Amino acid sequence: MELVLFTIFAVLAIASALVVITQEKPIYSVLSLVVTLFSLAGIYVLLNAYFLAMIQIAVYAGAIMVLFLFVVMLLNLKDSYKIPNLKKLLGTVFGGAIALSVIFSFTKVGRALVPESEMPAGDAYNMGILLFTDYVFPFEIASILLLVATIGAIVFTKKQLKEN
Amino acid sequence: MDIATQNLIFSVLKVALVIKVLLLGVTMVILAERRFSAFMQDRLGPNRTFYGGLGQSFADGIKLILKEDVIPTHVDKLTYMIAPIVMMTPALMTGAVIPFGPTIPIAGISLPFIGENLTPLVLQVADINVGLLYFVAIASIGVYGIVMGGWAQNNKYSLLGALRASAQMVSYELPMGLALVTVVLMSGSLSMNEIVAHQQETFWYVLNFPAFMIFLITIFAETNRLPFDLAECEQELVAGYHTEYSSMKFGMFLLAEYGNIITSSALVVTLFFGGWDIPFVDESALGLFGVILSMSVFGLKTSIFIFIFIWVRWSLPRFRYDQLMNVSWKGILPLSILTVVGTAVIMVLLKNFYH
Repeated sequence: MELVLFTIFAVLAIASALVVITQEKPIYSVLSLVVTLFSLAGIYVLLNAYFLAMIQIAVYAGAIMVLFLFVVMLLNLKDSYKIPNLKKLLGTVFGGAIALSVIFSFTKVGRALVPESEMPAGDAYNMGILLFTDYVFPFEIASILLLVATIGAIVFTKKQLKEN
Repeated sequence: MDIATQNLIFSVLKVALVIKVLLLGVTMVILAERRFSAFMQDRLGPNRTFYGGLGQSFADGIKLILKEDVIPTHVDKLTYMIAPIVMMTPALMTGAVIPFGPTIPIAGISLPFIGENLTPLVLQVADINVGLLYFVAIASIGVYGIVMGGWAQNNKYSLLGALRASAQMVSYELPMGLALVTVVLMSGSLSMNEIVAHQQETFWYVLNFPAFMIFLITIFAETNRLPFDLAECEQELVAGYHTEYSSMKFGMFLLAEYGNIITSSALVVTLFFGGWDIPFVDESALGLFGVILSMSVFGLKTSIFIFIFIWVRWSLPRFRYDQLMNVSWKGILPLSILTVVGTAVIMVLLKNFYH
């Protein structure tokens, strides 16, 4: 049962991810990215990480992608955007590097860090304990990053207002 | 029969029950809306079809199915077809985490066809420990139906409706999330069953009145009901995001809207009015009768909120769009942050002085 579900979600995730980069209409790309995020949430559920799965749907699929869709619809791009060759080359190099590093880290980690019987339930309680003890430093750093991004956005809009 | 098969059978039965109740409920809510609105406007409303109009929604449904399904030539076919499905699915999915009755202690009793029961029967489709988040997550997916539908029709009015809907839902999701945070602060759990159980032991969370009001207002915005129905504002946008839908595709948008009203009302009841809890009565002492009584009480409470949805719709005028955004970002959002802080302080004080 778990294997069947995993296969469905995995195939769906990969297929829709491929559609994201091959599709010429930007709105289809956005919508298939939503499908990818959804299938990833499904895989999280199969890994017992319910909390993460729900956050994935609520934050990424529910909020961020809606904003993406919003922007794409407002621009309503008629012609598909042609990517310059230099960008393609750079994209391939850096994308390949990231893919390789991900694959490498997976081979290092092996199959699972903890046997399945000892795996804690991925609910809000366990997540919270981890976030506020072992991972409190990265957690706070990430929040500072978000703060910087927010301030940056405000600064940009202020600048434009002054110029106008 | 082993425990997995039993769980499967019960799950299928519960899913069937919830979907059936939702779909039948939709027909009744539509009828209720039409009759109530008629009453408020001093008309009669549909009162002929089958015993005082009870069959009106079914007749309308048959009419919608039999009508010609026009697909305009200038639409984007794929998104146009998928949009009603995307709209409808979350409306039905959200019903899965709402507990509609107390746990029935049938463990050890043998039943026909199923044999001896191994686990007590939880009257909730999926008793997951992040039920509240599940509701938020799935409800936020509903906006894609509106956006896809609005964009696919390839006309200005629908697109404007879709844009309005998505901006509105994103801005009202924040205060809704914060109102839910206050609920979690009080209950200490994300599981719907535990939230109901905690309210039974202590108090109904409606006592935290600001949180309840914020949640009620945002849920109106999330379901796109008046005074927040700018996405389908007739005077400005013809019919908004479903202007060019016909036949049952239009019917599915309608079904989704009313399905959302029912699940939202059920959620308000579960989170703030004790769910199936009857105040001052010990349901577990009453046995099976208590179970039936609690389920009826849950239905009654939900109906009251559905009535409030209808009542508000026919009483209040619509917001202007800038007012809508101001209310959310400058009014409700700061208030909800205050509520969260206030609730947290009070909960800490309560814990320190009463334990």
